[in-house]
Amino acid sequence: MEILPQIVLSGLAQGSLYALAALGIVLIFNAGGVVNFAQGAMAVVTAYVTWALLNGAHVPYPLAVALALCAAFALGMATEMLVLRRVADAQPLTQIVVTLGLLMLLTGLVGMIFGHDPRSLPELVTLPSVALGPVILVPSDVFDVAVLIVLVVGLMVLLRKTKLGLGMRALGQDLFAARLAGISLTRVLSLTWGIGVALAGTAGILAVPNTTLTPTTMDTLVIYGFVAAVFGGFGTVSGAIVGGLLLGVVDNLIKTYLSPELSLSVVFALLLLALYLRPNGLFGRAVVRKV
Amino acid sequence: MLLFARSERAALLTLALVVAFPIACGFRTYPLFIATQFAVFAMVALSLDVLMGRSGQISLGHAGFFALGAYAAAILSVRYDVDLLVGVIAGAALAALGSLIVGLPATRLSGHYLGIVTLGFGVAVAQIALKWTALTNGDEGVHTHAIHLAGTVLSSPLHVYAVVFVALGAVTAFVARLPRTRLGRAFGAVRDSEIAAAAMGISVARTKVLAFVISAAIAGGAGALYAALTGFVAPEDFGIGQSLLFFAMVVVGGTASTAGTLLGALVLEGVSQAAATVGGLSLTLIGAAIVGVALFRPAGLKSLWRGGEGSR
Repeated sequence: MEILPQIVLSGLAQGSLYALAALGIVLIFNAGGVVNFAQGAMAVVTAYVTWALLNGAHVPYPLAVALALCAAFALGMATEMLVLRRVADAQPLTQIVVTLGLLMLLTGLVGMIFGHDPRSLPELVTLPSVALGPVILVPSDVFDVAVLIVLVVGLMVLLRKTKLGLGMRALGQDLFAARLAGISLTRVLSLTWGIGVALAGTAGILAVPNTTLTPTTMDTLVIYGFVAAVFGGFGTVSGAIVGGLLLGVVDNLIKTYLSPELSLSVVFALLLLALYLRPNGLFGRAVVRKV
Repeated sequence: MLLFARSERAALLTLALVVAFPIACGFRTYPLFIATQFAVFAMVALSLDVLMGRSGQISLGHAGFFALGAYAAAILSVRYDVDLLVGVIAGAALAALGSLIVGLPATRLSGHYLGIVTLGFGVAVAQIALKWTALTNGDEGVHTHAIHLAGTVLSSPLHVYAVVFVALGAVTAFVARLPRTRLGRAFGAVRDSEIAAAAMGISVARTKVLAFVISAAIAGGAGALYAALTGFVAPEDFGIGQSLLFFAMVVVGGTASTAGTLLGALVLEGVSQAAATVGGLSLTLIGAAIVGVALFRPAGLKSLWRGGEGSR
């Protein structure tokens, strides 16, 4: 029974994951001007750490998730401190190259350590579905949306109310002035990377129960994250969220009414169209380039 | 040897090494296959360098153009039993057409936006190849008929090897000469400053699209040769991993350097073959190589003969 409200609803749940992936990308991009192409591989690492803690060390699931997210945070910080910091002044191409190199390195390492057989993670929430009028509420879907809301509120508080958030926003606006104002560039950047990668890891862990976990599982999730970020104009937190949710719904509509297999191709066509018509995002304003 | 510049000597040396390899192995089938596959991949890497090194754009989906060429040639071979030359031309043409899809928006995009768009393109091509079963036979792939060129059936791996090497030689000569042509200089001007290039009367949009078309056509032609080499075309040969391998060849070798790109292709193809037995190892090594190059030798392998200053 496919009905429109149901499709929109489960699209929103899937879109929450895209929004989380996009948020991580946008946060890192805003603070440091680097697009982290390795975001998906880092989400994969997080999911595999969860899997290993759960199946190898038999840690309770919530604790395993918490520990894996801490690992993701550390991975993000380490990436910034050990790698990205060294190419901070290099050409943009070099920074793209570095994150692509990390993507391959991490994917390869995960493959070597855990092999290429598909793994799985259990659902985090295992309650029975609730019928609410014509639509059925699936608890794990509701949970995905709830996680997004909680994290976004947390992020807003962080960005608006804390000194770290102020520093993150300042870096995005004017690096030089931010330094003059006594903001420690390196500390804020590495913390931002930690948060960004932890967001990607969250999306990764939430996504696994619906698919399987292999070293390249997250390629699709992150491409959708990129697309969501581009829809949102790549610069803003709200753009990433709206872009992600919109993409989730659109994707689900395509899957239902057009073709479940070609959704990525159709989404790609939409991305091209969006970039061609509105290069600065669906809600973006024109940017004047100066010499 | 003073006839050649140091970079040209490096390019010739790389090619000589690869020609010598199957000879040293007594023309056995497997070394021949590896050497031919290297030559095909090197052509794609060279085509990618036209885009990245020469015109300052980026493509993370070159396997997509490669796939278009391979499928065009394979399907034409199966359905109409066409000559390899027709297959190569058709493959190049289809890839060039496909490049307009990304090339036209690319006139307004750069850097990471272009990276994302091309990445998406590569994934979309592989997905369509997987799902359009009526045309591509989906997962099972397309088996080509006996390959023939100008009336001669290429019956042994040695024949294919010879044809592919002639093609690599032609592509190398074309790409090495490009920077000295009017178009090549326009590429360089757009790469170094779009605004300055426009001020000199160069159409920036046209130049960028042309770079995509030329690059994709070469990659598509190489794809057609790949179909002739393997006799079998399937979607899994054209995933993100393959696109990133081409990208890595250019980066490790050093952008805007024909010899560097050839050497990068040689090194990375060597690594993938040597590490093929352990799952994930070659990807790990290539990833580490890319990060290492970016951190410590941003100019890549070409700095071996250019004194490391990374001059473009």
